[in-house]
Amino acid sequence: MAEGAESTTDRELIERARAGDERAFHDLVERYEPRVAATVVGMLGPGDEAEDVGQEAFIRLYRSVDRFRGDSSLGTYLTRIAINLSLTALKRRKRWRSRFVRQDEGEREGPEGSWDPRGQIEREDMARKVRAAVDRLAPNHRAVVVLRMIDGYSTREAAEILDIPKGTVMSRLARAMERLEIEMKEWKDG
Amino acid sequence: MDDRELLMRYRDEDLPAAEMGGVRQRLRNDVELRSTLERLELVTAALEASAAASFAPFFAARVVARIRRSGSAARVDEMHEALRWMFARVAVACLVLVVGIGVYSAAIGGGYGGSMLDAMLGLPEATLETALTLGG
Repeated sequence: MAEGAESTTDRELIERARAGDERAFHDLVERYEPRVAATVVGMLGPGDEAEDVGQEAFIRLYRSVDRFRGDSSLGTYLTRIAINLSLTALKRRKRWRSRFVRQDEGEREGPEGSWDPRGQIEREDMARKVRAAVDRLAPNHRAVVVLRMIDGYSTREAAEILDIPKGTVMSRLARAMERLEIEMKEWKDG
Repeated sequence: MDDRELLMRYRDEDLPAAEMGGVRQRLRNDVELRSTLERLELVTAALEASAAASFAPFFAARVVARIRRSGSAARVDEMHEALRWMFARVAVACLVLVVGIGVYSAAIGGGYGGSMLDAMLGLPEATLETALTLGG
């Protein structure tokens, strides 16, 4: 995902944030909110938990802004923080579920209606179903799908963010996409 | 590499030129491969459409407010830590002073013949005579 002309301005905002300019940091948050939201909501689904993880990602950035050297773009740096926090939240959620939720509850959010990719179904409804399907993927597969297919990172960038080889990204992505295809076919047929 | 992975790399143009040509050739002749590519395109479109563009309104303001709160909490923690550090050292200094005075008192008052505790506290040996003297 190219950073383009905004990089210089990012640097300026970072410098001002380092100097304690709250407004500059506010502007950085507004600028990168869509990217962090796509990552976090893709990983965790919409809700309070995603909001909390999104806020935490920016707070981590604020605390480390003095150490940010600009080796990677700010977007990639933030996405790395967001994806790691999301994976931690998923582990926490799994532990919580294993303690407090019965095995047969919350396993599947049954799809409603039929799936028509040519636009007969409301976009929101479709988005909800897709998120539910992504939510059922294993966390490491989910991370690859979110970075590669929702956030729009290249395979190389996704591999760098997750610190895994490119080949692993591709193989996880292929398996995850196959799983999603099956789910969508079930909606269509069901 | 299975067909799905091959097609994903084909879509990304992440294959050598010869392999790209090979996939194009296969797509012309292989109905099943074409169908897999179509399904892949549909899932990709659905995923792209599902992306959340933002959190609830005023997200940035909430982040800044949380940073402010955590900043003031951190300052309070820092002050507590500084006080703890200072009082720990004052306590050690007091202890050293008390022990020093005790040792000094014991050294100069040892001749009284009273107990060691009395000597360390600097108390003179209490006799009927001293009691009468102190009492006026």
